[in-house]
Amino acid sequence: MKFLFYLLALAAGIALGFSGGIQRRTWRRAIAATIIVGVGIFGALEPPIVGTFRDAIVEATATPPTVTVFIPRGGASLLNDTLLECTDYAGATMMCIVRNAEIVLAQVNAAPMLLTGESISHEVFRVISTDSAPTIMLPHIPALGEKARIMYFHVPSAWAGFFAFAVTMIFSLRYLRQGKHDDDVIAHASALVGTLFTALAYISGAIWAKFNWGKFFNWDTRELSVLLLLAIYAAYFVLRANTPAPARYRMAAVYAVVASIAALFLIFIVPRITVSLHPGSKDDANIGPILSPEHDALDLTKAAVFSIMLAGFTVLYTWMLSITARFHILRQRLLGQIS
Amino acid sequence: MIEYLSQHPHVIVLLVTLLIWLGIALYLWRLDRRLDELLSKFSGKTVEQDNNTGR
Repeated sequence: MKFLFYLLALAAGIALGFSGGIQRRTWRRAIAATIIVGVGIFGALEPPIVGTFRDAIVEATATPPTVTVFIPRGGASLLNDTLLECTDYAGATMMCIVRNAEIVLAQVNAAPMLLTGESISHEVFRVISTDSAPTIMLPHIPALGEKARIMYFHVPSAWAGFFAFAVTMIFSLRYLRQGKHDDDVIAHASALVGTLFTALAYISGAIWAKFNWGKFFNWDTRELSVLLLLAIYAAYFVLRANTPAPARYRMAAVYAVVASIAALFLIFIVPRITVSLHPGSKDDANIGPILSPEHDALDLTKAAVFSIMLAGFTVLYTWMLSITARFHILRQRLLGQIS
Repeated sequence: MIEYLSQHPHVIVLLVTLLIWLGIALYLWRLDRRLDELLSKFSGKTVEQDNNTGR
């Protein structure tokens, strides 16, 4: 189900972004990008991060130790003044220690509620504060806490960057086969936008790494491979800028095709076959919340918000690609006309 | 600063979000400026050409 969300989001993003052609101005991209990314930001910033009792047990050894747990309507029954038997949204039960009349009141009304607290054993959850339940909530990711929200910006940025490099390859191949100058310009524009998104994913990842792993740069395989990828595309721009005009376009197109093969290797293969801090590396049982088939990591709210952001960043990329490509095409036509 | 951010994870999320939007905004602003330069250069040349040809 989660993967269907991802695929639908990518298909919708690509269809909205590329319909009508990259060289044509369309309001569809601007409106779609604004709505999709706007909804995605709301989804990523507004609802509370809510875990299960299992998360609370895992978090008991990590910092911060508190986890907010969602108790569905009728999910708790009053045993005495201080103990409640609570059921979280995953269906697990645990005894909750409470010293708050609100909880008792909520229980009497059988209303859904949020309990923030910590697991003090495998059977008992100590409640620190309570809150009314929201309409939607984001699932907790153990050890990430509120920082898990960065995933909804960092990963779609990285995806947009990789997708841009794939588009560069496609338009470079088209240029090599058909010789249309506009295809070369679109390939160049896509590489520019792709480098921007990859750099933004890299910097946002470095900030995240500082607060999760202790350092901005940890000599992690994925950190190194993306840095190498940025260097490869920097060389693409240097090559374009320093090669005389007739040979420039063909040479850049060949380089872009070879670079995209290197990108595929650096993004999907190297981090999987080496030991890395990122999820999904060699000897790592945790494939990461995005691709994990586990029920807890498969929450549809998270998948929906993530999918919206994937679609939003794809449309945003195509919008920026369209503006950049049209600018470069116009520039070349104007300069060719006036020089 | 680092300590403050460690204790306030919401601010880290906000920082990362702002960074991404700032990067995109700076890119578009730079492109807009380049487009402006190009248009002013083009309009300047056409005026010259118009003057030379007497049109």
